[in-house]
Amino acid sequence: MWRYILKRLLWLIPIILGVTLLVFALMSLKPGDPGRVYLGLNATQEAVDAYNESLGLNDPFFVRYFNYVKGLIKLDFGKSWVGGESVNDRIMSALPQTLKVCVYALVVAFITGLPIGILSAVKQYSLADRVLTIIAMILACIPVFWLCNMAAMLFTLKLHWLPATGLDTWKAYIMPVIGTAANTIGLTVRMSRSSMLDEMRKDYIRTARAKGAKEGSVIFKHALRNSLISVTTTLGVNFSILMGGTVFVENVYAIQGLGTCIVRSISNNDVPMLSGCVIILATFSVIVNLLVDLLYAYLDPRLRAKYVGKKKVAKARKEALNDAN
Amino acid sequence: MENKLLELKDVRVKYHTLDYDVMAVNGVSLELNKGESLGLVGETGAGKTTLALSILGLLPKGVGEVYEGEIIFKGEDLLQVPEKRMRDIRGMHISMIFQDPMTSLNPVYTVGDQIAEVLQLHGNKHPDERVDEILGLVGIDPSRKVCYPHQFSGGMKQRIVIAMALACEPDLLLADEPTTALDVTIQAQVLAMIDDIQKKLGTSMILITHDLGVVAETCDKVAIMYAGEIVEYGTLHQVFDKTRPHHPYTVGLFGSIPDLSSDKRRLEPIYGMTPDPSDLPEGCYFSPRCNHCTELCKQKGAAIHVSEDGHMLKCHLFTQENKEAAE
Repeated sequence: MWRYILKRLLWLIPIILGVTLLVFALMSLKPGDPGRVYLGLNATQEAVDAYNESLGLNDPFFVRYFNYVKGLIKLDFGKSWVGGESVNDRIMSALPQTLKVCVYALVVAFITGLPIGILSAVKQYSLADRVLTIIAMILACIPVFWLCNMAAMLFTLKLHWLPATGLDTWKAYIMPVIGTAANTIGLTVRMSRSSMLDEMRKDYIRTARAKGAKEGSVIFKHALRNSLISVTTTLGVNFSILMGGTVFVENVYAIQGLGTCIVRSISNNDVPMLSGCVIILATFSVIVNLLVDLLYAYLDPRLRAKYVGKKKVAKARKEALNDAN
Repeated sequence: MENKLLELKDVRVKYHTLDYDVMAVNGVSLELNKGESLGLVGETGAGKTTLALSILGLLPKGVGEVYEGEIIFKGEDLLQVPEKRMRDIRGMHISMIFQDPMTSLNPVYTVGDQIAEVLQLHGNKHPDERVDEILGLVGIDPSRKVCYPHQFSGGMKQRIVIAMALACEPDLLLADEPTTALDVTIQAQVLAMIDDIQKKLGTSMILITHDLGVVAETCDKVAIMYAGEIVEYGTLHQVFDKTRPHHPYTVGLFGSIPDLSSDKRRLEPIYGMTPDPSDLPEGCYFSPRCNHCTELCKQKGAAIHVSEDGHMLKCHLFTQENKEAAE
């Protein structure tokens, strides 16, 4: 199993190289001038040029890229082109905010989406199923920035229930987390409903009923365990979508997370900052997907054999043999 | 009779669809004594599996419905008992072996756990010993109970399904084509095993199949089913005895099996298809395919004709009415 994890983690290297190359290439196409942004409109052209020269902005594209990658090997993401702040420090302060919102959102999406999906599937074609399916569909396709702005207008400006900025109190988490989770809740409902329906039609469900199992046990012990396998696969993809969604949510609610940082770096042409943030997002995406795959193997014995060595299986059999004798 | 285990009285089942009803079983009556095995033979779509599912009360909810008849098991009408009592009966008194062993086991639990489940559901708190015992009975090493279904071959999976069905020593075993998914050598093994265990435990069995060879090996009585009806019913000897009168459908079924002792170059199949159960023909359901079809057959379903030794036929060829009409 460790070999498998190592193999997956090694994949991070080409992914990070690809991501940084893409960021560098796109940003070099974008017009803009970090020196001008930093020094302001009143600075002389000479000062701006000198500033840009000191950053190495006049070097050829591949030289710049190579220098950046050299830093990356030492886990040094470089310095911001605007203000000279260390990118590492910035990420360390922004990452927890984004991660908290994303993880809470994923948990919320899962613990609301899954039961609703199961209920929908078990009561297929009932009124509840129809209503829930429609709500799920709306949630899945609602634009996040619109939802966040509307929520802020209603709960902050009109009702004064929730603060609209920062993450200082637990109340402040409510809107960002739900805003981030909205799409994923909808997707999770639809996914768990359809996979549950699939499982309920399988032959082994009939076998369980023929054994005299109660309907609850048929649903939760037999069908749910199997449908979790396919719902879990979507978790990893959903987490990546959530991380992308935070770019909007953080901007609406003025949270100093990676999303806000990304938007600011793009408008400032601050390539090292942007690239650092994107690398972190990509890394987390890879790690979460790896964790999901491991969870998947835990849930599905057919895949477990792939990761668990033959010795362990043989050991389990031997123990059972001793028990039997 | 004291040892009557199961009695079906004019059972009729239909499936509801949006536009029409599918008449799957159309008045089946039969009796089964303790320790007896009955072969239920018929083409695909004759309603054999539906009948078995009705006995267990496992017709798909809201779609399938027993709309007439009685299913009396040990003096209880299974159509009237509450769901809770029915759950006790399933697995404990009546159990079923399903057709496809590949999909009838839950892929995420070990086979030991799945066999233990049925024992636990019916009050056995410490099923381990019994699991080992029953696995041994079906010829699987008890040490393999920690394995998952995907680690077994098809034949072994079917043995496990059989072990599961027999774990609580039920009074009645419904075996729905238990050997169809298996290759011929394994088929023979599994059948011999079922036969063996059945004799050992004194279990009655309804064996659903379309293979008359299988029936000849394992059953005491035979019921031939066609379009949701039993068209011929008798002991193994009565139905397999070629010198006796038979329903034309039975004759057709036997004509479709290669006979090693005859010189015929070709088989004599039954032409045509089983009728669409949502649009059954008028009169006798077999009349459109029957070689002996008369005007009467096209108008009216045949009455049941029972010979002196209990051989039942549902065909106009043997009824008084037909003879009168011919005169």
